[in-house]
Amino acid sequence: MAEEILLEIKDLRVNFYTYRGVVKALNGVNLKIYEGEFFGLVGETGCGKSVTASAVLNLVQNPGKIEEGEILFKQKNLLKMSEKEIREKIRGKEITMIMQYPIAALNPVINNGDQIAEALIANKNMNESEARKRTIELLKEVNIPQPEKIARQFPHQLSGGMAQRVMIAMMLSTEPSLLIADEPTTALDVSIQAQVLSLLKDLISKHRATVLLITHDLSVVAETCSRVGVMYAGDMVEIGTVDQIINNPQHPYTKGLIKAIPSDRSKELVEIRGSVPDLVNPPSGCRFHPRCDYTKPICKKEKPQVLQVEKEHVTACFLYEESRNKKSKEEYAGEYKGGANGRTDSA
Amino acid sequence: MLKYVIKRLILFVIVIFGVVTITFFISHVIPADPVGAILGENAPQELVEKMERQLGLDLPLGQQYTRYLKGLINWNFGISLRTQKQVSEDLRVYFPATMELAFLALFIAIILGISIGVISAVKRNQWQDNASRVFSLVGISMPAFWLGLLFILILYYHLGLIPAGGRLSPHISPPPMVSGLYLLDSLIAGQFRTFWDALYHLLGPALVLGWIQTAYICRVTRSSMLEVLNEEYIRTARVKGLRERVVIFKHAFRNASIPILTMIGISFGYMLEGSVLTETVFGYPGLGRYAVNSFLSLDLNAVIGSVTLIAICYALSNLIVDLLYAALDPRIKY
Ligand SMILES: Nc1ncnc2c1ncn2[C@@H]1O[C@H](COP(=O)(O)OP(=O)(O)OP(=O)(O)O)[C@@H](O)[C@H]1O
Ligand SMILES: [Mg+2]
Repeated sequence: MAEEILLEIKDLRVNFYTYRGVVKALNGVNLKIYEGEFFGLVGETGCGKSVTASAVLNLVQNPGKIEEGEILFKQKNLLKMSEKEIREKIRGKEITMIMQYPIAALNPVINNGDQIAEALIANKNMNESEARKRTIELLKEVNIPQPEKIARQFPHQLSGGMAQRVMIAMMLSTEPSLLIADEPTTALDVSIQAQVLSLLKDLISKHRATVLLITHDLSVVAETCSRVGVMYAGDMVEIGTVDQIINNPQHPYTKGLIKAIPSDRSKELVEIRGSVPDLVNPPSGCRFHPRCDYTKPICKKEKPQVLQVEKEHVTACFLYEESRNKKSKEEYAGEYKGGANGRTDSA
Repeated sequence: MLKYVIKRLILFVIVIFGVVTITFFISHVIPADPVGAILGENAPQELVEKMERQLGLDLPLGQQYTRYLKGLINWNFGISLRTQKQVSEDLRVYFPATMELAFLALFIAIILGISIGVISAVKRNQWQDNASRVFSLVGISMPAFWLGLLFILILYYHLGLIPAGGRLSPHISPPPMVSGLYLLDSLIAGQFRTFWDALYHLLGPALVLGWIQTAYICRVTRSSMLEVLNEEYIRTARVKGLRERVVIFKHAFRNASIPILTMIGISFGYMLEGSVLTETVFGYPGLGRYAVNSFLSLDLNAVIGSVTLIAICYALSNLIVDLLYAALDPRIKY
């Protein structure tokens, strides 16, 4: 693809210094997001999706600390910027975020309209009356009926779906280049999840923004995203286009996630055995090995390298390394078709 | 909103009625002998009976109660046995002194408590926070009389920074009566010397009372701010690119202020209560000291009068706090 890279995360490590010990929440995450795309980030709860999102805005919560890595946004390393610079140039202007619990994400004592207007005043050099006028237009844009009335109301008077629309209006009001949506529909009624998601899609294409969509629902990803990253316990285990991930998953964890999608009523739901490890003492080597059905001795010792499967498709798994080596031998013997067509490793 | 205010006012009247009733019965069932206290244990029987008749103590309790209620409506508690004046007259003299002390102490406590508490929360676990926690721990754990004695020892005895007692120095006469608060009245009359002298006399007890309440307000502010600063909407405010000052004062503080307001209301109550000890220790002629002295000499009318007045103030401060909540938090239904 000839697209420009908008955001690139390189080897990002984040620790939380808690009384229980150091939580190694991100263990060297790598990720690229192209301009204009919908990038999905999936994984079980606690695998570090939200921490990754917070790190992008340099808003990792106490007692968390970004230990190393680079976050390149439009080629500039955000982690090298001062707090003042990132606040004035990035947050609110270039990158914004909507959250999982929209009602909790809105300030309960400030009315909805003023909360949106505030973003406009702070980032768009508008005066109060311009901001108010624009706020109403924005509320209309997110299909809120009676926008004047909603603007005067307070967050607790809204339903979850309405509140998320207000959040979307607020976070798109400043026309950011990147919108991070951290599980934007998880907390909503099932009946309106799809509505909110399609609204988000429409608005994004209208505003030409790029989206990092965080979810633990692969079916949402399949409907909305162009590429997906799969995270497990602070590691990025596989990245590829939606098609590659759904139809040709390489990592046992990705395969497990796909099996767990409730697609067919006749099929039984298969869950991945075991549970997410405690990141104070993460498993050695590949963090997934205690739950993996194919664990080999090396998986317990070494962290797997990131290997290229196809163009845009990478995974970090010893199993893949081995099978590819085997496959290329078989291919050499002329008995195998398809798969990894003689690609070279790229770590 | 108006409906809420009316509802709250009715509740206020009921509370006052309850307090007044309880005060009356408690002070009449305690096995004390006010007449004996006045006349001495060996007084002749007929004198005792005459005195009891005068005081209305010979009537059945129910009749005494209705007499008391009737008096109360006219703000008449009868005569103080100790001072030989109308209790309501005495209250008019001592009550403003206590109010002045409580307001000044509350003012100190609010300003210091909130600012130290906010700094403490924002600089969590840094030296500012540790210093403020030590400061408030001392304030909370020290009994008021002990803190008062320490202040007197250091500020009066060693440093000579505060006077020995009273509301004004002997050579200064009180300002013309408007509110009864010397600070306010002297300003109204333009008597700045009187103002400074009154302030000088208030400082010791106000600092002691204020320190203790500063400690409580500071603690509540800190924990409330810490809680709010962890909320999602604070994150939203930061994501919007707002300046930290705006995040803290506009987004966090207003939400944190509700528990703080509750604490301020409670603090005001404590001040009335604490004034009893502080005024006694500092020799400050306020309602607290008056109540203590009345109690020690079993001056029932004066005790009932002061307790009733303090209870009304307490209930009134609660009423004000409740009305302020409704103004601060849109989630509160009227
Ligand atoms: N404030 C914090 N203090 C301590 N540990 C934290 C904190 N925030 C996150 N973590 C740890 O970081 C890890 C990643 O958390 P994160 O919130 O990113 O998960 P997530 O993938 O977003 O999960 P979910 O799907 O539940 O939102 C978790 O193991 C969590 O325990
Ligand atoms: Mg999360």
